[in-house]
Amino acid sequence: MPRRNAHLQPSLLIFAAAALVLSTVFFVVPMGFIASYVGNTEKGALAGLIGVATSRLVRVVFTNTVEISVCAAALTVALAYPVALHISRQKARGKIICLALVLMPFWTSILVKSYAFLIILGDHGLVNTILHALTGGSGLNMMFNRFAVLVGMTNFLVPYAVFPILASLAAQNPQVQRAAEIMGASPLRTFWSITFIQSMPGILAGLLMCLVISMGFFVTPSLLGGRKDMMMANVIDMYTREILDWQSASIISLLLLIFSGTLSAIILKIQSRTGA
Amino acid sequence: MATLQAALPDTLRDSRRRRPRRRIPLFSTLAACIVYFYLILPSLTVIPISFSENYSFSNLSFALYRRILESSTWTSSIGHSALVATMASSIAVLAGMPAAYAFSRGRFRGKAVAQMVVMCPLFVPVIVIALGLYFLGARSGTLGTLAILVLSHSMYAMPFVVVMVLSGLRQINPSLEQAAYVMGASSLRVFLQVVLPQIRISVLASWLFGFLVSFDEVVIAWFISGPATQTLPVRMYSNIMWDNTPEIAAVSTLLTLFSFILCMAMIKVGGVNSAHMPTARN
Repeated sequence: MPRRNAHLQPSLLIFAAAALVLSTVFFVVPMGFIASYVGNTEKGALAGLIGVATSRLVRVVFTNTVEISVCAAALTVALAYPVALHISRQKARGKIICLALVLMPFWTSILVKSYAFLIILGDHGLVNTILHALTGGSGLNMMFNRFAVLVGMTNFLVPYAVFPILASLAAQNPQVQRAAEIMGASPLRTFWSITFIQSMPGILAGLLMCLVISMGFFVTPSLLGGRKDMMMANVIDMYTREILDWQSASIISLLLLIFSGTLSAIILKIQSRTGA
Repeated sequence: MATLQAALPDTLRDSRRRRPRRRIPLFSTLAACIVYFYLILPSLTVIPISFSENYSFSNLSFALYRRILESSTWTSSIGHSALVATMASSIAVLAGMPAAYAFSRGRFRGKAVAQMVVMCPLFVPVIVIALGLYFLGARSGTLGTLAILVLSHSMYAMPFVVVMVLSGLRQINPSLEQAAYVMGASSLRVFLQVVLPQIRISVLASWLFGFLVSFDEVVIAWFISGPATQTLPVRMYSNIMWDNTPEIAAVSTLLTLFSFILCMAMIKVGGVNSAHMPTARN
C-alpha cells in the first residue's frame, strides 16, 4: 500500500538540501568549533574549566547576569501585564492601535533604543534637565549603572512578555467571570481569583522567555551599563577579542548555552501543556 | 488592517463577548498608558534630537542629515547593510522556503533532526552563534569578507523564513498538490506551479522580515565583519561606544522611519503572525 501511494507522499529531501547545507556549515560547524576549543587546547579541558570556575571576573559576571536577568524579567512581566489586560479589553479598532503601539518598539533597532536612553538618562539628559528646571537640584546619576541597564532591557523585552500573557487572557472563558460577579464577588476579587490565576501560564511563559533573552544580552549592558554591570555576552566578547583566550570564551558560552537551553525546554513544555 | 486582525485571531475574536468595564480597569488602563508611553519614548526622543544641533533646540535644521550624507563612513555602512540584508534575506528565502515545504509535506528519514538543525539558531543566544562564526572565520581566513557575513546572516534569518512559510503552507489545501501528483507532475513542478502561487504572500512577508533581521543584526556582524564590510549597526555601536557624535540621532530617526515603513508593509502584505516571532535581536 505505501508503494502505490508513494508518489503522493514524496520524499522532498532534496528541497531541504540547501537549508541543511547552510545550517550545517554556518551553525553546526561553528558550534563544533566552540566544543573543540573547550577541550582541545594545550591546557586541556579540565584546567580550562578550573580556570574559568575560579576566575573572580567570571564569578562576578555570572552573578550579574543572573541578577540582572531575573530583575529584568520580573519587571518586564509587571509592566507587560497591565498592557496585555488593557489590550484584551479593547474593541476591534482600539485593539489594533494598542497592538501597533506594542509592535512598533518590537521592530525598532536595539541600538536606536540604547542611544535614546543615553539621551534620556544621561547626566545632561532629558530627565535631569527637567528635574533641574523643576527643583534646581544637581540631578540624578542614572547612567552607566544597573538602573540604566534595566531600563534599556525592560523596554526591549516588554513586547515579548505581552504576547504570551495576552494569549492566556484571551483563552479564558468569560462565563466564569460572569458567574463570580453574579455570586457577588467584588471586581477586585473577580480579577484576583479568576482572571489573574487563570493567566498564570502566560505569565510564566513570558517570564521565562524574557529570562532566556536577557541572559544573552550584549548591546544594552555594554552601552548603558558601567564596568560593574558586564554580562556573560560582554565577557565572551572580551575574552575573544581582547584577551584572546578562546578556550575561556568557549567555556563561558557553553555555560550560557546550557542555561538558556534548559529554560527554553521548560518554556516549550509549558506551552505544549497549556497551549498558552 | 484586516490582516492584523487575522494575525491574532484568538485575542481579537472574543472581544464582543466581554462585558462593559468598571472601576479596577481604570487603574490598569492608567498603568497601561504609562507603559505605552515608556515603549514609544525612545522613538519619540530621537526624532526631535535629530533636527537639532548639539542637543539644543534653539535652531532646528537638517544639518545632522546633511553631515551623514557627506560622510563616506556613514553612507558606506548604510550601503553595506542594505547589500548584506538584501543578499542574506534572498538566500534565506531561496533555501528556507523549499525547506519549509519539505518539512511540511515531505516524508524522509531524519526529518525531525533536519528540522531541528534548521530551527535551532532561534533558541541559541546570538552571542554563542557569533562566537562560533568568529572561530569559523578565523580558522578559514574569511573574517571580514562579505561572503561569510552574508551567509551567516542567511543562516540566522532562515528559521524565521521557515516559520512564516510553514504558517502559510498550513493555510492552503494539500489536496490540490495531491491532484497534481496524481496527474503525474514532478515535485518541482508541483512546488513551482501549485504551491508557490498560493503562498507568495507569506514568502514576500518572510523576505521582508529576513531583511529586517539582517539589517538590524549587530552581534554577529560585530564579531565577523571587517573594515571593508562594516554594517550600519556595527558602525552605530562603535560610534555610541567611543565617539557618541550627534549624527547618531539622525541615523536613529532614519532607522525608526525605516522600521515603521517595513512594519506597515508587512501588515499590508499580511501573512504575519507577530506572536510567532520570538526574535532575540539584542
